[in-house]
Amino acid sequence: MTMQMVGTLGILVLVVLMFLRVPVAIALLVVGLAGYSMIHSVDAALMVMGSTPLQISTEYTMSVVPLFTLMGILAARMGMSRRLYAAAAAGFGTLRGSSALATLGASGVFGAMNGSSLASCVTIGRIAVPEMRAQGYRDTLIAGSVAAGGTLGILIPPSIIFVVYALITEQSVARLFAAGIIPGFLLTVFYCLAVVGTVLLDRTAAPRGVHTPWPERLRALAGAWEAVILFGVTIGGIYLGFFTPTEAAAVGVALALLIGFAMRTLTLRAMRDAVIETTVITSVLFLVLLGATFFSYFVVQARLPQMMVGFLNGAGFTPMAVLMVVIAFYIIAGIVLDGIGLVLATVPIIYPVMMGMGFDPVWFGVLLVVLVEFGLLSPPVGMNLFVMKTVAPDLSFRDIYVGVMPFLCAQGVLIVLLVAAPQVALWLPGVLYP
Amino acid sequence: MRRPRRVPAIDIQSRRPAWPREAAINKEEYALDSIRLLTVALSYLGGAAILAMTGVTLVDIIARNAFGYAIFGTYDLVLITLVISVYAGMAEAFRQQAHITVDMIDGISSPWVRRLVGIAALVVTIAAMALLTWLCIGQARDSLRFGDITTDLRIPRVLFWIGIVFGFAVSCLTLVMLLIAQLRSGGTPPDASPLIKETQA
Repeated sequence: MTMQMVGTLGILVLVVLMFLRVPVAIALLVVGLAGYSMIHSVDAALMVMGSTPLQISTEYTMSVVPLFTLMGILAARMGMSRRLYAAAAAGFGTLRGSSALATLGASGVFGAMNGSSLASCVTIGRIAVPEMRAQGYRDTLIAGSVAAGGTLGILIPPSIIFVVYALITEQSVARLFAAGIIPGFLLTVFYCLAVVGTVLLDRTAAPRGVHTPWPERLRALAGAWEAVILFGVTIGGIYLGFFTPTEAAAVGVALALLIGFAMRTLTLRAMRDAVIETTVITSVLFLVLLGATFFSYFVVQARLPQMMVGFLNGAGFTPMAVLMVVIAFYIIAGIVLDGIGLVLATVPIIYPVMMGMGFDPVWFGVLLVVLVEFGLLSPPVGMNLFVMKTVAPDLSFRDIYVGVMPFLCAQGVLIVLLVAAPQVALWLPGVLYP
Repeated sequence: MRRPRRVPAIDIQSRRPAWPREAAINKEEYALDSIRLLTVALSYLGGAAILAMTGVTLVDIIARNAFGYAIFGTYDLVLITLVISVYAGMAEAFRQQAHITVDMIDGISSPWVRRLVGIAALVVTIAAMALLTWLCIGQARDSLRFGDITTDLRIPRVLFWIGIVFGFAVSCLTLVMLLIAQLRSGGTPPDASPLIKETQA
């Protein structure tokens, strides 16, 4: 059996194992072990597999994962989401659809700190859904704005997916964070335009915002100070050259603890629960990373990327055609697999192919995250749609599917923009790290 | 459909395990609750490691910026706390069934197929984790024999390996308990403990 045949068979077995409910991490490990053994020897495979657990857990860069995760969970436990929502609502004032816009704004900031699309959707949804219902918003707009808002967090730094991608592809975490800022901002604007467009087409979809006197509005706006400080110090610190990403994450955790205890929004019990939750999330991420790292050794040994690039070149595929195929693949795969699992399982194969076609690694990282977001929102089984149903069980799936459509269009516009003008992602890292 | 628990595995109010006061508790729940104490304790250790990582990094930043003096060994300390935080929570993640899986088959298959697939997936997972544990024991032995140490603080690398082996071994034990519980309950995965449910809420 040729190496390429082993590689192809390995991918097929991987897909089968994942569909048979074997955890993604274990499926990657098993296929990596079997494939590596077939190409070299069982002894060689076992030796490499045995050394991988220490190798991946002693990567200094990866220490940002537990730290940023803890910062986000602490922010959630401190009730920051409620104050953020109130501040965003005060900011949009009496605009028609202001609560939907506030949902998006609060989700963007909260999601950036939390780094989890699902957590952001649940946390902001619990506050925003009853509020919008009370104001008479149409169910489709409620569902769409909450589900879409949740996706913003994984693109706006600090993003755990970027850290994981950086480790697999040996890219700079800070460059990737910088590359996500403008697309993240643009996607927030596009989502807001989707709300405005929906409201313009159907004025009964959302009422005008509640009039609030200016002193009250200013007070609500000032309530977002914790988020501003956390976000400003951590991300600002990285780009002003004060901190490395790991140091910024540690400062973020310390600030969150300090603010939480000083303002009495955090109890010892909440901190303990946050820390346990962080440990479990960290372990889950690292086990997938362990599987993906070992699987990527097998992919490299099987020369799969070279085979795919050779095949695509031979078949006359242009880089743009390959990119279209990759985009289509991620949109479909994203419907089935969770974001980080998808990135870890596929990047070892897809990334070398894309580099072979001459694409920029940082740009591809940003595109990948946007595609993951698209998967989270795609009917019928996008993860955020189910989360939305959990947050508001009486919403029908029809309303949720219809509601997310304008936001999927917004994501589509961003994907087109990123493909047509890669500088949207690459300009800022180019300026900050010439 | 998940089988309802007959008795709570933990008394949430008092924060004490409900057994052995509750004589009605069945064997698989007893076994899972026994392992729960260990996995939760390990999670606390992982959490303490994350807090220690935060502290060490902060002290280094302050010392560097205030006194122009970098704390010697920060890098090694961050790495050892990272290793602990990664592997200490692994068993609890398995117990909570928090690892990423694709569950598309659930919606399109009959209950007995789901049960069979669930048990088969668990067996594959146990085999892979047992192999990892065995391989890491070998690596730990080699590390001890060759006297591997870290660059700055000269910490024996075998300590890292002991942490990894322990994390994997407890994960294996947890997975075996889960398998036993699933087999006894006709293949239905047991619920996560009320403590964790409460935490997640």
